[in-house]
Amino acid sequence: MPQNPSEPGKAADNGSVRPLDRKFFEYLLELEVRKATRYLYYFSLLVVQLDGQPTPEDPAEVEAVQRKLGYLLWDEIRGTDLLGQRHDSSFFIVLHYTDLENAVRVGQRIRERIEHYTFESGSGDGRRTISIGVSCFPTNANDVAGLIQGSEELLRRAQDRGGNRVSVPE
Amino acid sequence: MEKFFHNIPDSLTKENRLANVRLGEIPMDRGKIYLVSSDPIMRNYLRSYISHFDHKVLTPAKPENFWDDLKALSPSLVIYDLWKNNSGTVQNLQNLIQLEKTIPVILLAGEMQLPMIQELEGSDQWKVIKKPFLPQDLKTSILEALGKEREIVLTPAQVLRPSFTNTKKGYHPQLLLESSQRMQDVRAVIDHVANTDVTILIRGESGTGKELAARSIFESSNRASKPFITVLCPAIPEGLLESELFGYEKGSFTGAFRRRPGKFEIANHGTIFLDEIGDIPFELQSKLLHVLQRGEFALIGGNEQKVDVRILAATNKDLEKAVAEGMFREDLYYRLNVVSIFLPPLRERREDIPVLIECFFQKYNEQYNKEYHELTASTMRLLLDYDWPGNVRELENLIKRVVIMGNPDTLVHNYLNENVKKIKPRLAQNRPAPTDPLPLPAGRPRDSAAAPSALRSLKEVAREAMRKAEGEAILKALEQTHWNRKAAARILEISYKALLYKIRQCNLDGEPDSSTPDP
Repeated sequence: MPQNPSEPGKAADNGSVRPLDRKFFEYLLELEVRKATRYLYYFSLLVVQLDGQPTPEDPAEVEAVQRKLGYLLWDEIRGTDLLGQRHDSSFFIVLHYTDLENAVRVGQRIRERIEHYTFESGSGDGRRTISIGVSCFPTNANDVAGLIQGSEELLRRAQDRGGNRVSVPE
Repeated sequence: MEKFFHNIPDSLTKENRLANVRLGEIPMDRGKIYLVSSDPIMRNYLRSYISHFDHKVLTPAKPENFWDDLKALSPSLVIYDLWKNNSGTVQNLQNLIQLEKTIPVILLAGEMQLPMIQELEGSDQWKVIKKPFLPQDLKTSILEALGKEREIVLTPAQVLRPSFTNTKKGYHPQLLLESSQRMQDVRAVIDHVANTDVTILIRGESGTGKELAARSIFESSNRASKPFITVLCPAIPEGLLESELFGYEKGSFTGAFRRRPGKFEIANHGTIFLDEIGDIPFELQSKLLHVLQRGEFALIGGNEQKVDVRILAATNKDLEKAVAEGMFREDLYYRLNVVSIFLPPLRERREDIPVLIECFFQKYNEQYNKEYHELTASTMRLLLDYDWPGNVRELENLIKRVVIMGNPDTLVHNYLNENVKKIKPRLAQNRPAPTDPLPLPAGRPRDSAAAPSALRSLKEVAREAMRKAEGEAILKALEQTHWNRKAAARILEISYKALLYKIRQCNLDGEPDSSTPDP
């Protein structure tokens, strides 16, 4: 039988969000889709990424910023929502019982929180911004692949348009 | 003991069928994997999981036969799941050490079994996967063992729904193990229409496999990767059906605390199966017609939105009669009835019975870890002669009971005797005594047209009584209000429209002389 590779969506004691295997994340998302289909509710998937490339020569600072970002995201969502970090340093958030309109609202709130937060930084002013791609089940997609693809595309679109924005399906 | 098989095609001889069910029928080219597990849950899980890699998975009919089967089948890989420590296990492991020289072996072992494995000489050559394990670990080990380097991409849907994806080729025992021409015709129609977008109406008695047919159509269609949503219309209270199907906006009625999607929205780009559509309320039929005609629907209290859903519907009711009685919208009927598939009752395709029996025996023997039961010729004769009013579902339940309880012949005899006794009085009134001295009577009347009016179903009697009572109440209210229909509707606490419909239904259309015009 499959075992859980990590504790998903749980912030560890040191404030970091544990990286979640993509397959396991998709497994959780598939479960969510099935539950939402069974019990008829909306939920939304947010993919969050820091704007700009991390500084390669200062990995410690990058890690600290990522850890802090995970903590801030965790602080902005409900205890029942899912949060995880993927290996490509982007975060995903699954907001239960949340339609697109409310997901955008949450996304904007998170974006503003990060925009006004000052990260500890040895090199710059510590101000960072994020871009967010949002898709909603079943409004934008009703399967795992569609949801992930949709959110990632929207994230890329937000970044292409200059970042620091929440992108939703048109 | 004489064994009996009846009208089974050559391709489905007993040995072939057993082998087919045991070994899987689909030819594969990626090597045979021999799977041994005494734990039925684990066995089913592993078989489903491994089958996605296009490997042919073989399992021994009985765990104790594993060594004999293994020699005969010469697989490319053996996966041995250690369940309990016992002398048989140790013996098997020692045999596997010898086998390792020619065939790779993967052992799945729990914490308790690891010391036992380490004690065995030569066990260090094995690939041992400790339980619980990740599917990915097993996949990697299989690939390594078989020397396959190509990555196998498995979607979560395949991991989670192995049985569904297995049926991608339309495999459904009850539908595919047909030997009758009529079921072959059904199969041909399903194959023909599956990959189109037309609405299909599936008809047939209860238990004939309407939902299986719908699922088969869905899985053979180009929407197979999209959702398949089933709605059992009579199971949802009349008042809730609309919100279940179409969803609602927040605040659209008391208790609508949050926006909720409907089944149609969730099934977008997929398929929705409306089971027992004959029971859908008249008021809702127009909304359904709107979706069918324009591909649009509106959440309760919300705006219209487009939806792309293929509709499959099923019913065991006489829809033409319902249309004639004004209980079912004629336009909806024609919209649904683009292609109609009729699933014949089991009594009209008796040649399928032995095949189905075999199939169900295999299924439940494996599920309950029981030994195979053989039926005597006389028992099989009884099963073939019985009319199966509950169709395939009834047969399946009987076989399930036989597998669990054992003693098949006595159980089948008792079951059939009891059921025949129940239907005998009806038979006596409806049919002349059969001249053919069969051990069982041929069955019970099925259509109401064949039965005299005194033997109407309880449902019909109740419906008529209800209509009569309603008619009396409506007439009383109309007389009281001097045929002012609006006032009468208020007294009866129904809508004006509903009253008009009921008046027509109860044939109260005739205006009395003293009627007053409606305001």
